[in-house]
Amino acid sequence: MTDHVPAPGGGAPRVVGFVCDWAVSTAGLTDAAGRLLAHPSVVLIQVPCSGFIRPSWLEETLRAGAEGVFVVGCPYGDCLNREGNYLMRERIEQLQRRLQRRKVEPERLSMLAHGLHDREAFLADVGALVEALGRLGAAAGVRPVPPRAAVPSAAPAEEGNP
Amino acid sequence: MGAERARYAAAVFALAGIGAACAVVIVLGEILGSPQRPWFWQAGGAALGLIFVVYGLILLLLRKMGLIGPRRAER
Amino acid sequence: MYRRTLSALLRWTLRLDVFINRVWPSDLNPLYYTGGFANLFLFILVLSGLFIFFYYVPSLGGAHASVAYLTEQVPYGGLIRGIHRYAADAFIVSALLHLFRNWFTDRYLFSRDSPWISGMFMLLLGGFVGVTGYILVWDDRGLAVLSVFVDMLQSIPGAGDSLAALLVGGPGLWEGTLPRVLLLHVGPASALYLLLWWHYVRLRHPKVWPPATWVLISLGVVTLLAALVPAVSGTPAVPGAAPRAMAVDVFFLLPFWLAGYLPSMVIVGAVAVLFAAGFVIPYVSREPPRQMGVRHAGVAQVVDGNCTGCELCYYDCPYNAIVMVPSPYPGLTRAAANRKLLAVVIDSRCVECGICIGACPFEALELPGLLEADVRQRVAEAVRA
Repeated sequence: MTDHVPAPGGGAPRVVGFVCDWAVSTAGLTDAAGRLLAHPSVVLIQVPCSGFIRPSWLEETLRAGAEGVFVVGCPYGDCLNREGNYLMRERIEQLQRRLQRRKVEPERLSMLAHGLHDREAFLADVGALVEALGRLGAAAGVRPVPPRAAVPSAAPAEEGNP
Repeated sequence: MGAERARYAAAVFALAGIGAACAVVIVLGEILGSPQRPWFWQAGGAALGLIFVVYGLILLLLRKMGLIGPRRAER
Repeated sequence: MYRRTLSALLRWTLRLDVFINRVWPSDLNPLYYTGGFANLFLFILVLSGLFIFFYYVPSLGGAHASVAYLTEQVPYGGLIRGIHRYAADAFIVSALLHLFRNWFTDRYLFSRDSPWISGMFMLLLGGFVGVTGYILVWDDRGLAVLSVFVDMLQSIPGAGDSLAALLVGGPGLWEGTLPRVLLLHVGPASALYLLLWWHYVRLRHPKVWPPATWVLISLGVVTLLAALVPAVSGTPAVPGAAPRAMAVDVFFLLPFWLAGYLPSMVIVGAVAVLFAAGFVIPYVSREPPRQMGVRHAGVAQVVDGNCTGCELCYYDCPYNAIVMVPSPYPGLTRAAANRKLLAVVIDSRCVECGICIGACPFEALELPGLLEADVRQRVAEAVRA
């Protein structure tokens, strides 16, 4: 696991994006490591459905040093699995409220909805997000990830049935 | 109110006017006309259909103006 | 070839969405509710059909006259008849749009073949019900349709004659024919609701109706059409008279029009092949499993030790693939030790979407191909990059 990596001073904000398999097609938009060519500080991770993401992973992404995190799902009404994007939007809103108590700005978490061919709109949204995060600066209220030993219930989970 | 919203609002009023006119046509027709005219029933049916369409379009415009519906879907 | 065509069709389908979503908020896009539209029009058909049923007389001498009475003498009777006619066309159009959209966007994979198969049956029955509807009017077109239908049935080797006898209610046309056709019109229409139950049974929160805006607009358009282009009968049917040219409703009567140009057996064969191909679609997926990447990450697995029985995964699964059972033994972690319920994934219903993983706050669910550890690793790599 990585320790809290300090934000590069003055550089573009580090953003991690989870892209659902049926949302906007990212072929040609990213390099081999998943970095967006248009905004190199944004890295994308593919998931089967936007509803797959646990809010704890989003929180962890912020703890690990990203300034912002977003989830891209299908347009509302057209989720391949019918409800994934609505469920994810609600989870993100709940997480935003929870993190606000620790003074993490809600703008750091975003839910986007873009269809397979909505590339321009997607890139425009990501650009606006990067800009807004640049003005916010480094994530203040997020605690560094504690060492693994302090989280006992996670260990047996990993050895569960694969 | 922005220019777009003003246009939507004007359209809502226009549509509502059309719907009211159709309702008047049906009511007047029933009162004045004898019930044995098949062409009147077709005309009344057209007015009824128009009322439904107008109602649906008004709801759509209100939704686009943000006055009804889950606003967060437009985020 | 199949794959490339489908990919192209998928692209065009979704490009169309981008245009529509610029005008309408995306959760009002009518193409996302094609199934709901079909259901709406079916409901309109049932209500208008009930009204017509009270006036219809199923006898060779009285059928045409009863329909004429309904259309010309009953207040708004012609309107209701027109609504019945146009709602039927709209039903078939919606069902076909629903079929094509779900085909092009791969919404039939894994356990979603269940709604697909029931849907194909519904399309078949729906088409049949529409054809019997045209026969019931018992004008010259109705008689022609019946004759061609009997011809087509008789051309089926083996069962042909018995099937034709079933349709007509005997060896030939007689007084019992129209009551039989009426039964074959109303019965399968009711059976459609049974098939609809099958269609919904694997889905949570199925989109049964379109949004209110669209319900009103559809109802309005069907009514407007019925008023502006009234549905009319032809001349009363005279058995034995030579058939003349007549208007063809392309959604129901296309095979019957083709019967004027092709032998009946060919048409029956073509229809059979088309439907057989339709039934096979869910089993001929566009991509081999290996190429499906994250979409084929394995059936969700419950991590027994962590499950606390909170039921969040059960509520979130869109396919009813998770059930809660009384917990046979306590869990391992402190939170799971006092559980009353345990989540169990029904493998045959799971489509491997992972929504349950996102719902679980206790790390008690995993996708074998994309474990929590894998996600954490990718996040770490992403942040370090």
